[in-house]
Amino acid sequence: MARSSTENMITLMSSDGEEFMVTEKVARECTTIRNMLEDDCVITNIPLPNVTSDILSMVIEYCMEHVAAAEKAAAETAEKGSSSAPAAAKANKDLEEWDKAFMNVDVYTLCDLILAANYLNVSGLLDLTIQTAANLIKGKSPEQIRKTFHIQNDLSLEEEEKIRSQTPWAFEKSE
Amino acid sequence: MAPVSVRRSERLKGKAQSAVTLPDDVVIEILSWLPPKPFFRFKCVSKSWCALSSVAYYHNKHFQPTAHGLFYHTNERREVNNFYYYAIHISFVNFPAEADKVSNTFRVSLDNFKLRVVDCCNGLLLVEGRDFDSPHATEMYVYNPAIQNILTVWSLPPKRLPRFYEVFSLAFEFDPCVQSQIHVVCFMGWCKQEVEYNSFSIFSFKTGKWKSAKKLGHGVRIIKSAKGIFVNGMVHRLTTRKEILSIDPNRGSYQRIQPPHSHPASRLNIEQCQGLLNFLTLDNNFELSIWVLESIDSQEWVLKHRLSGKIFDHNFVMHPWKNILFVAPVTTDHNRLISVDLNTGKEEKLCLLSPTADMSDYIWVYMPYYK
Repeated sequence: MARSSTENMITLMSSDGEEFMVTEKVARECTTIRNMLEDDCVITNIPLPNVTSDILSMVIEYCMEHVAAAEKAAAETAEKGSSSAPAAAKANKDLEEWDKAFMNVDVYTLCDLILAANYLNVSGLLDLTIQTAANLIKGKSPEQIRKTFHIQNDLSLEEEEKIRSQTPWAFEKSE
Repeated sequence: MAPVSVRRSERLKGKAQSAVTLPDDVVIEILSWLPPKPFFRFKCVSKSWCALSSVAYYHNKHFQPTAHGLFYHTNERREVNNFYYYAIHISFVNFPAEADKVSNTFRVSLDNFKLRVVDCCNGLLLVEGRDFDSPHATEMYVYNPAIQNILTVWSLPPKRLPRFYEVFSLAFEFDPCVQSQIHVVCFMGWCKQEVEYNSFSIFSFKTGKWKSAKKLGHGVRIIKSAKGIFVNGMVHRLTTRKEILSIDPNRGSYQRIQPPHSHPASRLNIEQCQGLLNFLTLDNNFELSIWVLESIDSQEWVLKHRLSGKIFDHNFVMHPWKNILFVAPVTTDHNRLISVDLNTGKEEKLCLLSPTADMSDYIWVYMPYYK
């Protein structure tokens, strides 16, 4: 994943020992890593014990795409002196489309991505994944939610009945 | 962050086997994005989701106090067997800017009922229903448009109330930590030369009963053609002496609040904004002054806004949250709703109202309430 030798390269190490070389700019998209770099500027190797290699590669893919889009927009602005609104709108739309395609994952990968985005503090990815998760689960029943997330129903029948009776309209079939 | 069990290799082999433990702040985030229906449905997923939902409630944009639109009445001329009559309908107009923030929250048509809004308080409507076959039989409903639910229905006149002239105010206090309270205050009067509303009774939804009527002090009468304003758990009404009557629906007690000044005004109004009582005066030169009651104990009024312009001669209502005044035209020639920014005085055209809108009647700002 090395790009140009003039840029500082950072090595990120996943929980399963895989190493990822990224530019400092890409790594800085993760607020957690940015804070580490600002505290200690000579650091070049960062172990991430909470993120597996397949999830980390996705996070890096997301950060690279967003850095590239921002760089492209900045270059266009510098070239023309000012950014043209239709071009910027198209670039935004393209990035949105990319995000949408990127979110075409199963619910478990999505949850891992949420956890990684939360841990690495990538605000754009966190918003994207959480919004996707909310859209994915909003049509489900409580029972389906428990199944999906392997949650034990620790509510007694009476407690559950009480919650249901507080907002019976929320349990009606029609959306 | 709490350690998380993520077993990726297992997951790749068989997805059904996998287990994901979401940390609390992630669950809160997800709940904060959900629309009202799934939000309340997922309260019964588990004890922890139920507990986390009370935090997420404050982050969820659907539950933010946003004004979604206005209720108003329309007068429509109808014909039945060569006999003409005017039918009153409740209409609703959605603010365009708010519509894309939270869409589809208001989807009900009240046209099936012969209803009239009597009061609107914290997302609930107090509506009076009249039967066209027997016009003296009235029914009162408390209706929540957000969840399309008629909370309670009763027929009037209630047996225990004497058949006087009556006007009503709705008091709806909600606090997510405490059980919500709904009261209806009924002011009663009888006719001498004109009707004098000098006593009141309170209906509590908790007990389902009317409290016995209480007489107001000597000379204290409320004005029938004024709105009730609910602030800080108290129902406020203007009196004929230009004071404000403040009624505590829980205790059934009342006190009087002196107005900020005694200058002659062509129109007086009370409104609620940002949880404070506002006193609006319009003088003969169309100068509008807005006073805010900073403290009820010291009865201290502070002049907050002063604006002038002929526009204020129309029907207006304050935004319950922002420093905005909605002005609805009295004439039906140009029935476009206007908003006035009270800080800058800037006017903005909002949306069109029905051509049959009755703008001499009240308008109510609507903020949805889910629960």
